[in-house]
Amino acid sequence: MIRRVWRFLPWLVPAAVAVVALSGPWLTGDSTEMIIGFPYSGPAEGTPLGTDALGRDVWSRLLAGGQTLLVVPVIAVGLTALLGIAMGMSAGYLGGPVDAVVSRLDTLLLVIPPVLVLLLILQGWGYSPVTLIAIVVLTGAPFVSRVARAATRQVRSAGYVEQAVALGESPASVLVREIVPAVARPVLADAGTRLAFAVGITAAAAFLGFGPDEPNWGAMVSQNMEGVALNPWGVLMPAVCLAVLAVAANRAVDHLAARISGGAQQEQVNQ
Amino acid sequence: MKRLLLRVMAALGTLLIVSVILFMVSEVTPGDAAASSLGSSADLDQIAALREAWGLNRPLPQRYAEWISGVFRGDLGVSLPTGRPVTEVIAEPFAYSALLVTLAGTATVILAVAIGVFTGLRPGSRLDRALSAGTVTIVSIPQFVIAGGLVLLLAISLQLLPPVSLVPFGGTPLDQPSILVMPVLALTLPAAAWASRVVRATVIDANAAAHAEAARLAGLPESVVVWRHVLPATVPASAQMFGWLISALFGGTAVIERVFNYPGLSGVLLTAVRNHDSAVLEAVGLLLACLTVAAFLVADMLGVLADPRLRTAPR
Repeated sequence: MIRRVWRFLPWLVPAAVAVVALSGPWLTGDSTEMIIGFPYSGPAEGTPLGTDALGRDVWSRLLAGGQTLLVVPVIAVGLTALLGIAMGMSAGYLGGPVDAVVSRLDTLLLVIPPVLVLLLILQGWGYSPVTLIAIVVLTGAPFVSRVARAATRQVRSAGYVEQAVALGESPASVLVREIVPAVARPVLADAGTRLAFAVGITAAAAFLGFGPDEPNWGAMVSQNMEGVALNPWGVLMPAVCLAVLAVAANRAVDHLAARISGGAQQEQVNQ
Repeated sequence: MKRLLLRVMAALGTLLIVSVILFMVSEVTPGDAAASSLGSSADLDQIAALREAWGLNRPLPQRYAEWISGVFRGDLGVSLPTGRPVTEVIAEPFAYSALLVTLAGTATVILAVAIGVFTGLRPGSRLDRALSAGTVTIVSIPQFVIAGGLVLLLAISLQLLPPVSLVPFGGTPLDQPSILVMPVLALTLPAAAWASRVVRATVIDANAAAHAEAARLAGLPESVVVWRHVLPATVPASAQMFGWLISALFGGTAVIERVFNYPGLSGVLLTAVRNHDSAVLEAVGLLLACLTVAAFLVADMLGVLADPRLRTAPR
């Protein structure tokens, strides 16, 4: 029993960060935009973390600044996995021209650095949840697709797949019932890193100054950097929250993935 | 030799298609340099006139052809909002960023190989578990957060280094190497953490492979087994990974330079995005794609040198 409690203890801080990130915007109301003191004042009564570059309360902006960074990456990584698996499986299973096109597309997308994809998309369509999701999907899907393609090719010629084909199952049914489970494992093993990366690139967009002027941990780090010597909390706390969120996201997904695909994946997850 | 030639041709083909995609994406997206440089107060006639003057309303294929033929002659076009040649706009910042990437890349390769090989040969040991936990954590944390953490730790708390990396007027970053320490560290830590995990995984695989076991059973000393049989087998996969490094490190500088106010590509790219200065984005994109493709070619060649089977194996 006590062991069980200990096992949950490391998750307490990340869970608290996640809950605050999700519910924060409703807790703070308007207090995030009010100017309540001199810029970069240190912690004082009523402002436990001092003020930011414009003299706004760091604490309420911290509470309100995590929602996008949690919601957007989760949705985006889900879509990335779906698209990547679909691309990789059709390439690996159908082979021929489909494989050639998909593999080429993957290489092309992988040669352009993710930050550049981010800049190109932001240049054209501006910063919004939809563009952020598009950026994560475009930069992540090629990786998933490669993994899914390799896994598909491995099982395509396996006995149980050939048997299913010989029994007259339709291609769709073979793909969904025989191949998807084999592809899901390696994709899941990688999903934690993908989610952490998605949190990073979503926060980077705000950090680079593209977002609207609403509270956002990524933006807070760059906005308050100039006065970091006067009020370090304005940088430290959003940075810590982002780090905890990203690390916890990675660990939590790895944990789930190991549960789903069983103990055999344990070694791979630990790598 | 024929294989090398084929690979180079394929790489050039990839780059050509990348150039088309880069050009199309940055030119087709809503908004253009004319609209952004005139601001929101301009009326449609003014914007149309400027577009005409800058040649933005000519057909896309024609503009692409002009751009790409210029690229082959070393002319990357003109940055429309400033009127300066793109080569001139990006040359110095690119050199500054490349300096960071070179330093961080070297440090990353050394660290990743050292940690990856050491832990890969002792999987499951206490030190391996500690290092693996550390690398997983560092890999997950966004790069600019690591950069911010370094500033808080090394510049604000310990006051060892300057918090911003301003280049002395009229000088180069090398005149004051202390400004390079934190940017290079911020790039190296995540890259080395990630790369060491890849190296570790390939070492574990190679160490358990049949040929390594056979060498052991033949009675060869462990050091010979490791140096002659295990490590060479890890080169192809590890070299591939170092191909990624170029792209990852350049992408990293574009973000973390902002933390330190370092005058590299980051500033140029951000200004270009704000002003819809497509020519600059396309040029930097193509340049980075060239470097990445070249890095993969080198990685491929290294792999072939280390693993004779790849010389004849069909792809």
